[in-house]
Amino acid sequence: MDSLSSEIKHSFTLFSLWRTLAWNDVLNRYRRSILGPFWITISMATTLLAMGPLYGSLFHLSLQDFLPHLCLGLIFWSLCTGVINESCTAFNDAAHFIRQIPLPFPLYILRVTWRQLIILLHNLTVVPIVLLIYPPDWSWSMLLLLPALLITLIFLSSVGLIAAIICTRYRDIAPIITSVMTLLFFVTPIIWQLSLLSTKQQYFARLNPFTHFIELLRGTTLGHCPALLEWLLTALFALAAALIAMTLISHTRKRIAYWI
Amino acid sequence: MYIDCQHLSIQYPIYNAQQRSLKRSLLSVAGGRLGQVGRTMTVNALNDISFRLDEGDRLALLGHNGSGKTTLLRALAGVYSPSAGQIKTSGRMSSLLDATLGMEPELTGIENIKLRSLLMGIPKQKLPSLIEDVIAFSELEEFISLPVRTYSSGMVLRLAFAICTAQPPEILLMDEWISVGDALFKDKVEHRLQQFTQQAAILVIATHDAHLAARIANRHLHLVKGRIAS
Repeated sequence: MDSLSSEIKHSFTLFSLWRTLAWNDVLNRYRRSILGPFWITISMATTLLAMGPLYGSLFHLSLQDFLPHLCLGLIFWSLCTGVINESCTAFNDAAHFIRQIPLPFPLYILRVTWRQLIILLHNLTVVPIVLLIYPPDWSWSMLLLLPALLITLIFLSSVGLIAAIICTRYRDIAPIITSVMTLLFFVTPIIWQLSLLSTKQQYFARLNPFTHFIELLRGTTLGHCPALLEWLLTALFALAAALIAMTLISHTRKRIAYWI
Repeated sequence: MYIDCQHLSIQYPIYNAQQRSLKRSLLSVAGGRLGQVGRTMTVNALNDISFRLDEGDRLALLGHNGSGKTTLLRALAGVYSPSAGQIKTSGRMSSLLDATLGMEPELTGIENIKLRSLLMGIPKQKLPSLIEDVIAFSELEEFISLPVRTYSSGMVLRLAFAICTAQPPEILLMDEWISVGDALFKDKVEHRLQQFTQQAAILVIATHDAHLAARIANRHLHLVKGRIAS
Protein backbone atom coordinates (compact mmCIF):
# COMPACT_ATOMS: atom_id res chain seq x y z
CA MET A 1 0.00 0.00 0.00
CA ASP A 2 2.92 2.26 0.79
CA SER A 3 4.43 2.12 -2.68
CA LEU A 4 0.96 2.67 -4.10
CA SER A 5 0.54 6.00 -2.34
CA SER A 6 4.01 7.02 -3.50
CA GLU A 7 3.04 6.04 -7.05
CA ILE A 8 -0.01 8.28 -6.90
CA LYS A 9 1.97 11.10 -5.31
CA HIS A 10 4.66 10.72 -7.96
CA SER A 11 1.99 10.99 -10.69
CA PHE A 12 0.90 14.34 -9.36
CA THR A 13 4.44 15.68 -8.95
CA LEU A 14 4.94 15.04 -12.67
CA PHE A 15 2.24 17.62 -13.32
CA SER A 16 4.20 19.54 -15.96
CA LEU A 17 4.83 16.31 -17.87
CA TRP A 18 1.21 15.20 -18.24
CA ARG A 19 0.09 18.76 -18.83
CA THR A 20 2.57 19.08 -21.70
CA LEU A 21 1.66 15.67 -23.12
CA ALA A 22 -2.04 16.53 -23.00
CA TRP A 23 -1.53 19.90 -24.60
CA ASN A 24 0.56 18.31 -27.37
CA ASP A 25 -2.22 15.77 -27.93
CA VAL A 26 -4.74 18.54 -28.49
CA LEU A 27 -2.36 20.48 -30.74
CA ASN A 28 -1.53 17.38 -32.75
CA ARG A 29 -5.16 16.76 -33.57
CA TYR A 30 -5.56 20.22 -35.02
CA ARG A 31 -2.08 20.83 -36.35
CA ARG A 32 -1.97 22.72 -39.64
CA SER A 33 -5.64 23.67 -39.34
CA ILE A 34 -6.27 27.40 -39.15
CA LEU A 35 -8.89 27.45 -36.41
CA GLY A 36 -7.11 24.73 -34.44
CA PRO A 37 -8.86 23.53 -31.29
CA PHE A 38 -11.67 26.01 -31.88
CA TRP A 39 -13.11 23.46 -34.27
CA ILE A 40 -14.27 21.79 -31.05
CA THR A 41 -16.24 24.91 -30.18
CA ILE A 42 -17.67 25.25 -33.67
CA SER A 43 -18.85 21.67 -33.89
CA MET A 44 -20.51 21.98 -30.48
CA ALA A 45 -22.23 25.21 -31.55
CA THR A 46 -23.47 23.60 -34.76
CA THR A 47 -24.86 20.60 -32.88
CA LEU A 48 -26.70 22.97 -30.56
CA LEU A 49 -28.15 25.03 -33.38
CA ALA A 50 -29.41 21.92 -35.10
CA MET A 51 -30.67 19.97 -32.09
CA GLY A 52 -31.96 22.85 -29.96
CA PRO A 53 -35.00 23.95 -32.00
CA LEU A 54 -35.78 20.41 -33.19
CA TYR A 55 -35.83 18.64 -29.84
CA GLY A 56 -37.23 21.70 -28.09
CA SER A 57 -40.33 21.51 -30.25
CA LEU A 58 -40.52 17.72 -29.92
CA PHE A 59 -40.57 18.04 -26.12
CA HIS A 60 -42.84 21.11 -26.29
CA LEU A 61 -40.33 23.15 -24.32
CA SER A 62 -39.44 26.79 -24.83
CA LEU A 63 -35.91 27.46 -26.01
CA GLN A 64 -35.41 29.55 -22.88
CA ASP A 65 -35.73 26.36 -20.85
CA PHE A 66 -34.40 23.86 -23.32
CA LEU A 67 -31.33 25.32 -24.97
CA PRO A 68 -29.23 25.96 -21.81
CA HIS A 69 -30.26 22.49 -20.59
CA LEU A 70 -29.19 20.81 -23.84
CA CYS A 71 -26.03 22.89 -24.20
CA LEU A 72 -24.66 22.07 -20.74
CA GLY A 73 -25.83 18.47 -20.96
CA LEU A 74 -23.96 17.88 -24.21
CA ILE A 75 -20.82 19.67 -23.06
CA PHE A 76 -20.52 17.83 -19.75
CA TRP A 77 -21.41 14.54 -21.37
CA SER A 78 -18.62 14.97 -23.89
CA LEU A 79 -16.25 15.33 -20.93
CA CYS A 80 -17.52 12.08 -19.38
CA THR A 81 -17.46 10.03 -22.53
CA GLY A 82 -14.16 11.56 -23.65
CA VAL A 83 -12.26 10.64 -20.48
CA ILE A 84 -13.64 7.11 -20.27
CA ASN A 85 -13.39 6.19 -23.95
CA GLU A 86 -9.91 7.58 -24.40
CA SER A 87 -8.66 5.99 -21.18
CA CYS A 88 -9.27 2.59 -22.77
CA THR A 89 -6.28 3.10 -25.06
CA ALA A 90 -4.25 5.29 -22.67
CA PHE A 91 -1.62 2.65 -21.89
CA ASN A 92 -1.34 1.34 -25.43
CA ASP A 93 -0.94 4.85 -26.79
CA ALA A 94 1.92 5.37 -24.36
CA ALA A 95 3.58 2.02 -25.11
CA HIS A 96 6.83 3.69 -26.14
CA PHE A 97 7.07 5.34 -22.72
CA ILE A 98 5.95 2.34 -20.71
CA ARG A 99 8.47 0.00 -22.33
CA GLN A 100 11.34 2.31 -21.53
CA ILE A 101 10.84 4.35 -18.38
CA PRO A 102 9.06 3.18 -15.25
CA LEU A 103 6.66 6.11 -14.83
CA PRO A 104 3.64 5.79 -12.54
CA PHE A 105 0.61 4.51 -14.45
CA PRO A 106 -1.98 7.01 -13.15
CA LEU A 107 0.05 9.63 -15.01
CA TYR A 108 -1.29 8.41 -18.36
CA ILE A 109 -4.87 8.77 -17.13
CA LEU A 110 -4.16 12.26 -15.82
CA ARG A 111 -2.90 13.05 -19.31
CA VAL A 112 -6.22 11.90 -20.82
CA THR A 113 -8.20 13.80 -18.19
CA TRP A 114 -6.25 17.00 -18.72
CA ARG A 115 -6.65 16.66 -22.48
CA GLN A 116 -10.42 16.37 -22.04
CA LEU A 117 -10.40 19.31 -19.66
CA ILE A 118 -8.77 21.45 -22.37
CA ILE A 119 -11.49 20.33 -24.78
CA LEU A 120 -14.11 21.14 -22.14
CA LEU A 121 -12.75 24.67 -21.79
CA HIS A 122 -13.05 25.16 -25.55
CA ASN A 123 -16.61 23.88 -25.45
CA LEU A 124 -17.48 26.07 -22.48
CA THR A 125 -16.89 29.21 -24.56
CA VAL A 126 -20.31 28.50 -26.09
CA VAL A 127 -21.98 28.70 -22.69
CA PRO A 128 -21.74 32.48 -22.03
CA ILE A 129 -23.37 33.13 -25.42
CA VAL A 130 -26.25 30.76 -24.69
CA LEU A 131 -26.65 32.17 -21.19
CA LEU A 132 -26.68 35.76 -22.47
CA ILE A 133 -29.47 34.97 -24.90
CA TYR A 134 -31.38 32.77 -22.46
CA PRO A 135 -30.35 34.14 -19.05
CA PRO A 136 -30.49 31.75 -16.08
CA ASP A 137 -31.10 32.82 -12.47
CA TRP A 138 -27.72 34.40 -11.84
CA SER A 139 -26.48 33.56 -8.37
CA TRP A 140 -23.34 32.98 -6.35
CA SER A 141 -24.13 29.29 -6.14
CA MET A 142 -22.80 29.02 -9.69
CA LEU A 143 -19.35 29.01 -8.09
CA LEU A 144 -20.23 25.55 -6.82
CA LEU A 145 -19.43 24.38 -10.35
CA LEU A 146 -15.79 24.15 -9.29
CA PRO A 147 -16.24 21.59 -6.50
CA ALA A 148 -18.78 19.78 -8.69
CA LEU A 149 -16.22 19.57 -11.47
CA LEU A 150 -13.58 18.33 -9.05
CA ILE A 151 -15.78 15.49 -7.80
CA THR A 152 -16.64 14.58 -11.39
CA LEU A 153 -12.99 14.55 -12.46
CA ILE A 154 -12.05 12.26 -9.55
CA PHE A 155 -14.84 9.91 -10.57
CA LEU A 156 -14.00 10.00 -14.27
CA SER A 157 -10.26 9.51 -13.91
CA SER A 158 -10.79 6.65 -11.44
CA VAL A 159 -13.18 4.92 -13.83
CA GLY A 160 -10.70 5.74 -16.60
CA LEU A 161 -7.87 4.03 -14.72
CA ILE A 162 -10.01 0.94 -14.16
CA ALA A 163 -10.96 0.91 -17.84
CA ALA A 164 -7.34 1.40 -18.94
CA ILE A 165 -6.08 -1.54 -16.88
CA ILE A 166 -8.83 -3.91 -17.98
CA CYS A 167 -8.66 -2.85 -21.63
CA THR A 168 -4.91 -3.36 -21.75
CA ARG A 169 -5.27 -6.90 -20.47
CA TYR A 170 -8.45 -7.84 -22.36
CA ARG A 171 -8.63 -6.31 -25.78
CA ASP A 172 -12.36 -6.88 -26.31
CA ILE A 173 -13.40 -4.65 -23.45
CA ALA A 174 -12.70 -1.33 -25.18
CA PRO A 175 -15.44 -1.74 -27.83
CA ILE A 176 -17.83 -2.85 -25.08
CA ILE A 177 -17.11 0.30 -23.09
CA THR A 178 -17.58 2.48 -26.17
CA SER A 179 -20.97 0.89 -26.86
CA VAL A 180 -22.03 1.20 -23.24
CA MET A 181 -21.12 4.90 -23.27
CA THR A 182 -23.18 5.39 -26.44
CA LEU A 183 -26.10 3.66 -24.79
CA LEU A 184 -25.71 5.73 -21.62
CA PHE A 185 -26.02 8.90 -23.70
CA PHE A 186 -29.64 8.00 -24.32
CA VAL A 187 -30.53 6.97 -20.78
CA THR A 188 -28.86 9.97 -19.13
CA PRO A 189 -30.85 13.22 -18.95
CA ILE A 190 -28.78 15.07 -21.55
CA ILE A 191 -31.38 15.80 -24.21
CA TRP A 192 -34.46 14.98 -22.15
CA GLN A 193 -35.28 16.25 -18.67
CA LEU A 194 -35.77 14.19 -15.54
CA SER A 195 -38.99 16.09 -14.76
CA LEU A 196 -40.60 14.66 -17.92
CA LEU A 197 -40.48 11.18 -16.39
CA SER A 198 -42.92 9.52 -14.00
CA THR A 199 -41.71 8.96 -10.42
CA LYS A 200 -41.01 5.32 -11.12
CA GLN A 201 -39.09 6.10 -14.30
CA GLN A 202 -37.10 8.73 -12.43
CA TYR A 203 -36.10 6.11 -9.90
CA PHE A 204 -34.59 3.97 -12.66
CA ALA A 205 -32.89 6.92 -14.31
CA ARG A 206 -31.20 7.71 -11.00
CA LEU A 207 -29.63 4.27 -10.85
CA ASN A 208 -27.28 5.53 -13.57
CA PRO A 209 -24.37 7.36 -11.88
CA PHE A 210 -23.99 9.70 -14.83
CA THR A 211 -27.49 11.06 -14.21
CA HIS A 212 -26.25 12.47 -10.92
CA PHE A 213 -23.02 13.88 -12.33
CA ILE A 214 -24.74 15.59 -15.26
CA GLU A 215 -27.50 16.95 -13.00
CA LEU A 216 -24.90 18.21 -10.52
CA LEU A 217 -22.74 19.94 -13.12
CA ARG A 218 -25.65 21.41 -15.05
CA GLY A 219 -27.55 22.39 -11.92
CA THR A 220 -24.65 24.38 -10.50
CA THR A 221 -23.91 26.11 -13.81
CA LEU A 222 -27.54 27.19 -14.15
CA GLY A 223 -27.53 28.57 -10.62
CA HIS A 224 -29.88 26.02 -9.08
CA CYS A 225 -28.19 24.86 -5.94
CA PRO A 226 -28.32 21.03 -6.18
CA ALA A 227 -29.73 19.07 -3.25
CA LEU A 228 -27.39 17.76 -0.59
CA LEU A 229 -28.29 14.22 -1.63
CA GLU A 230 -26.89 14.88 -5.10
CA TRP A 231 -23.56 16.01 -3.62
CA LEU A 232 -23.39 13.04 -1.29
CA LEU A 233 -24.19 10.52 -4.00
CA THR A 234 -21.65 11.87 -6.47
CA ALA A 235 -18.97 12.06 -3.76
CA LEU A 236 -19.77 8.48 -2.83
CA PHE A 237 -19.51 7.31 -6.44
CA ALA A 238 -16.19 9.13 -6.79
CA LEU A 239 -14.83 7.62 -3.60
CA ALA A 240 -15.93 4.10 -4.51
CA ALA A 241 -14.42 4.37 -8.00
CA ALA A 242 -11.17 5.74 -6.58
CA LEU A 243 -10.91 2.87 -4.09
CA ILE A 244 -11.55 0.25 -6.76
CA ALA A 245 -9.04 1.91 -9.08
CA MET A 246 -6.36 1.95 -6.38
CA THR A 247 -6.92 -1.67 -5.43
CA LEU A 248 -6.76 -2.69 -9.06
CA ILE A 249 -3.60 -0.73 -9.87
CA SER A 250 -1.79 -2.00 -6.79
CA HIS A 251 -2.46 -5.56 -7.91
CA THR A 252 -1.64 -5.08 -11.56
CA ARG A 253 1.02 -2.41 -11.93
CA LYS A 254 3.86 -4.92 -12.05
CA ARG A 255 2.13 -6.77 -14.88
CA ILE A 256 0.92 -3.94 -17.11
CA ALA A 257 4.24 -3.53 -18.95
CA TYR A 258 3.99 -7.20 -19.98
CA TRP A 259 0.48 -6.71 -21.34
CA ILE A 260 1.31 -3.87 -23.73
CA MET B 1 26.08 3.80 -7.49
CA TYR B 2 25.71 0.15 -8.46
CA ILE B 3 23.57 -2.42 -10.21
CA ASP B 4 23.09 -5.64 -8.35
CA CYS B 5 21.25 -8.37 -10.16
CA GLN B 6 20.66 -11.62 -8.28
CA HIS B 7 19.18 -14.78 -9.80
CA LEU B 8 17.00 -12.73 -12.10
CA SER B 9 14.42 -14.63 -14.10
CA ILE B 10 11.79 -13.16 -16.33
CA GLN B 11 8.84 -15.04 -17.65
CA TYR B 12 6.99 -13.34 -20.36
CA PRO B 13 3.32 -14.10 -20.95
CA ILE B 14 2.42 -14.47 -24.61
CA TYR B 15 -1.13 -13.64 -25.46
CA ASN B 16 -2.63 -14.23 -28.82
CA ALA B 17 -5.90 -12.65 -29.82
CA GLN B 18 -7.90 -15.60 -28.60
CA GLN B 19 -6.25 -16.09 -25.27
CA ARG B 20 -6.41 -12.45 -24.43
CA SER B 21 -10.16 -12.20 -24.80
CA LEU B 22 -12.46 -12.10 -21.84
CA LYS B 23 -14.44 -14.99 -23.24
CA ARG B 24 -11.41 -17.25 -22.89
CA SER B 25 -10.90 -16.23 -19.30
CA LEU B 26 -14.52 -16.71 -18.41
CA LEU B 27 -14.53 -20.11 -20.06
CA SER B 28 -11.36 -21.16 -18.32
CA VAL B 29 -12.69 -19.98 -14.98
CA ALA B 30 -15.83 -21.94 -15.69
CA GLY B 31 -13.58 -24.95 -16.14
CA GLY B 32 -14.44 -27.90 -18.36
CA ARG B 33 -12.94 -28.85 -21.65
CA LEU B 34 -11.58 -25.44 -22.64
CA GLY B 35 -9.49 -25.10 -19.49
CA GLN B 36 -6.39 -26.40 -21.19
CA VAL B 37 -6.65 -23.98 -24.10
CA GLY B 38 -7.16 -21.03 -21.80
CA ARG B 39 -3.80 -21.42 -20.10
CA THR B 40 -1.41 -18.66 -21.01
CA MET B 41 1.78 -19.55 -22.83
CA THR B 42 4.90 -18.10 -21.32
CA VAL B 43 8.40 -17.57 -22.61
CA ASN B 44 11.31 -17.83 -20.23
CA ALA B 45 13.12 -14.77 -21.50
CA LEU B 46 15.76 -14.69 -18.77
CA ASN B 47 16.94 -17.46 -16.48
CA ASP B 48 18.94 -17.08 -13.30
CA ILE B 49 21.01 -14.05 -14.30
CA SER B 50 23.40 -12.78 -11.62
CA PHE B 51 25.99 -10.02 -11.88
CA ARG B 52 27.07 -6.91 -10.08
CA LEU B 53 28.30 -3.64 -11.60
CA ASP B 54 30.01 -0.89 -9.65
CA GLU B 55 31.18 2.62 -10.44
CA GLY B 56 33.02 2.87 -13.73
CA ASP B 57 31.88 -0.51 -15.02
CA ARG B 58 30.97 -0.76 -18.69
CA LEU B 59 29.06 -3.92 -19.46
CA ALA B 60 28.48 -5.16 -22.99
CA LEU B 61 25.53 -7.50 -23.44
CA LEU B 62 26.25 -9.81 -26.33
CA GLY B 63 24.04 -12.40 -27.92
CA HIS B 64 21.90 -13.24 -30.92
CA ASN B 65 18.52 -11.77 -31.69
CA GLY B 66 16.07 -13.01 -29.10
CA SER B 67 18.72 -13.98 -26.59
CA GLY B 68 17.22 -11.67 -23.96
CA LYS B 69 19.40 -8.55 -24.25
CA THR B 70 16.56 -6.07 -24.56
CA THR B 71 14.50 -7.85 -21.90
CA LEU B 72 17.45 -7.60 -19.52
CA LEU B 73 17.84 -3.88 -20.28
CA ARG B 74 14.14 -3.32 -19.64
CA ALA B 75 14.36 -5.23 -16.40
CA LEU B 76 17.34 -3.10 -15.33
CA ALA B 77 15.40 0.03 -16.28
CA GLY B 78 12.60 -1.08 -13.94
CA VAL B 79 10.05 -1.56 -16.69
CA TYR B 80 9.70 -5.32 -16.30
CA SER B 81 9.52 -6.57 -12.76
CA PRO B 82 11.34 -9.84 -12.10
CA SER B 83 9.40 -13.10 -12.02
CA ALA B 84 12.07 -14.40 -9.67
CA GLY B 85 15.24 -13.01 -8.12
CA GLN B 86 15.85 -9.30 -7.67
CA ILE B 87 17.53 -6.24 -9.07
CA LYS B 88 18.86 -3.46 -6.90
CA THR B 89 20.09 -0.26 -8.48
CA SER B 90 21.30 3.00 -7.09
CA GLY B 91 22.01 6.06 -9.24
CA ARG B 92 20.18 8.35 -11.63
CA MET B 93 19.28 6.24 -14.61
CA SER B 94 18.79 7.15 -18.23
CA SER B 95 17.68 4.61 -20.77
CA LEU B 96 17.99 4.65 -24.53
CA LEU B 97 16.07 1.54 -25.36
CA ASP B 98 13.99 2.88 -28.20
CA ALA B 99 15.25 5.78 -30.24
CA THR B 100 11.80 7.25 -30.70
CA LEU B 101 11.07 7.61 -26.98
CA GLY B 102 8.95 10.65 -26.40
CA MET B 103 9.69 11.95 -29.89
CA GLU B 104 6.53 13.46 -31.20
CA PRO B 105 6.92 13.53 -34.98
CA GLU B 106 4.84 16.68 -35.33
CA LEU B 107 6.87 18.62 -32.76
CA THR B 108 10.08 20.41 -33.65
CA GLY B 109 13.47 19.29 -32.40
CA ILE B 110 13.48 22.02 -29.74
CA GLU B 111 10.00 21.11 -28.52
CA ASN B 112 11.07 17.48 -28.34
CA ILE B 113 14.09 18.41 -26.26
CA LYS B 114 11.76 20.15 -23.81
CA LEU B 115 9.37 17.21 -23.69
CA ARG B 116 12.12 14.72 -23.11
CA SER B 117 13.74 16.80 -20.42
CA LEU B 118 10.39 16.71 -18.62
CA LEU B 119 10.36 12.93 -18.95
CA MET B 120 13.82 12.72 -17.47
CA GLY B 121 12.93 15.12 -14.69
CA ILE B 122 15.50 17.76 -15.62
CA PRO B 123 14.88 21.05 -13.78
CA LYS B 124 13.72 24.02 -15.85
CA GLN B 125 16.73 26.21 -15.04
CA LYS B 126 19.03 23.75 -16.77
CA LEU B 127 16.98 23.72 -19.95
CA PRO B 128 18.69 26.56 -21.90
CA SER B 129 22.18 25.11 -21.46
CA LEU B 130 20.84 21.64 -22.22
CA ILE B 131 19.29 22.84 -25.47
CA GLU B 132 22.58 24.45 -26.51
CA ASP B 133 24.49 21.30 -25.73
CA VAL B 134 22.05 19.13 -27.66
CA ILE B 135 22.15 21.38 -30.72
CA ALA B 136 25.95 21.41 -30.69
CA PHE B 137 26.32 17.67 -30.23
CA SER B 138 23.61 16.55 -32.64
CA GLU B 139 24.81 18.92 -35.40
CA LEU B 140 21.24 19.31 -36.54
CA GLU B 141 21.69 23.08 -37.00
CA GLU B 142 18.63 24.68 -38.56
CA PHE B 143 16.77 21.35 -38.61
CA ILE B 144 16.33 21.69 -34.86
CA SER B 145 13.40 24.05 -35.42
CA LEU B 146 11.70 21.76 -37.96
CA PRO B 147 9.23 18.98 -37.08
CA VAL B 148 10.95 15.70 -36.26
CA ARG B 149 8.91 13.91 -38.94
CA THR B 150 11.14 15.65 -41.52
CA TYR B 151 14.26 14.03 -40.04
CA SER B 152 16.08 11.00 -41.36
CA SER B 153 16.34 8.07 -38.95
CA GLY B 154 19.98 8.93 -38.35
CA MET B 155 19.03 12.47 -37.38
CA VAL B 156 16.36 11.26 -34.93
CA LEU B 157 19.01 9.01 -33.40
CA ARG B 158 21.48 11.84 -33.00
CA LEU B 159 18.87 13.99 -31.35
CA ALA B 160 17.81 11.22 -28.96
CA PHE B 161 21.36 10.34 -27.99
CA ALA B 162 22.29 14.00 -27.53
CA ILE B 163 19.30 14.64 -25.25
CA CYS B 164 19.77 11.52 -23.14
CA THR B 165 23.42 12.16 -22.51
CA ALA B 166 23.44 15.97 -22.25
CA GLN B 167 22.80 15.62 -18.53
CA PRO B 168 25.28 12.86 -17.75
CA PRO B 169 23.29 10.10 -16.05
CA GLU B 170 24.91 7.89 -13.44
CA ILE B 171 23.63 4.76 -15.11
CA LEU B 172 23.12 4.63 -18.86
CA LEU B 173 21.28 1.75 -20.51
CA MET B 174 21.53 1.52 -24.29
CA ASP B 175 20.15 -0.83 -26.87
CA GLU B 176 21.98 -1.71 -30.04
CA TRP B 177 20.25 0.86 -32.24
CA ILE B 178 23.38 2.95 -31.92
CA SER B 179 24.60 1.23 -35.09
CA VAL B 180 22.11 3.26 -37.13
CA GLY B 181 24.38 6.30 -37.08
CA ASP B 182 27.05 7.03 -39.67
CA ALA B 183 30.74 6.38 -38.97
CA LEU B 184 31.53 9.94 -37.92
CA PHE B 185 28.67 10.05 -35.46
CA LYS B 186 29.59 6.65 -34.07
CA ASP B 187 33.03 8.01 -33.17
CA LYS B 188 31.42 10.92 -31.40
CA VAL B 189 29.12 8.58 -29.49
CA GLU B 190 32.00 6.36 -28.44
CA HIS B 191 33.98 9.36 -27.33
CA ARG B 192 31.12 10.64 -25.21
CA LEU B 193 30.53 7.21 -23.70
CA GLN B 194 34.18 7.00 -22.73
CA GLN B 195 33.95 10.43 -21.11
CA PHE B 196 31.09 9.16 -19.08
CA THR B 197 32.72 6.15 -17.70
CA GLN B 198 35.72 8.25 -16.74
CA GLN B 199 33.28 10.05 -14.49
CA ALA B 200 32.65 6.66 -12.88
CA ALA B 201 29.23 6.20 -14.44
CA ILE B 202 27.88 2.74 -15.17
CA LEU B 203 27.13 1.81 -18.76
CA VAL B 204 25.19 -1.18 -20.00
CA ILE B 205 25.04 -1.56 -23.75
CA ALA B 206 23.47 -4.32 -25.81
CA THR B 207 25.22 -4.96 -29.11
CA HIS B 208 25.97 -7.46 -31.86
CA ASP B 209 29.24 -5.75 -32.59
CA ALA B 210 32.06 -7.60 -30.82
CA HIS B 211 34.56 -4.89 -31.85
CA LEU B 212 32.47 -2.14 -30.33
CA ALA B 213 32.06 -4.23 -27.19
CA ALA B 214 35.82 -4.76 -26.98
CA ARG B 215 36.52 -1.03 -27.38
CA ILE B 216 33.91 0.33 -24.99
CA ALA B 217 33.33 -2.30 -22.35
CA ASN B 218 35.43 -3.75 -19.56
CA ARG B 219 32.90 -6.45 -18.76
CA HIS B 220 31.10 -8.78 -21.13
CA LEU B 221 28.00 -10.87 -20.69
CA HIS B 222 27.07 -13.42 -23.35
CA LEU B 223 23.43 -14.35 -23.35
CA VAL B 224 22.29 -17.55 -25.02
CA LYS B 225 18.57 -18.25 -24.87
CA GLY B 226 18.19 -16.16 -21.75
CA ARG B 227 21.08 -17.69 -19.82
CA ILE B 228 24.57 -16.46 -19.17
CA ALA B 229 26.93 -18.39 -21.46
CA SER B 230 30.28 -17.34 -20.09
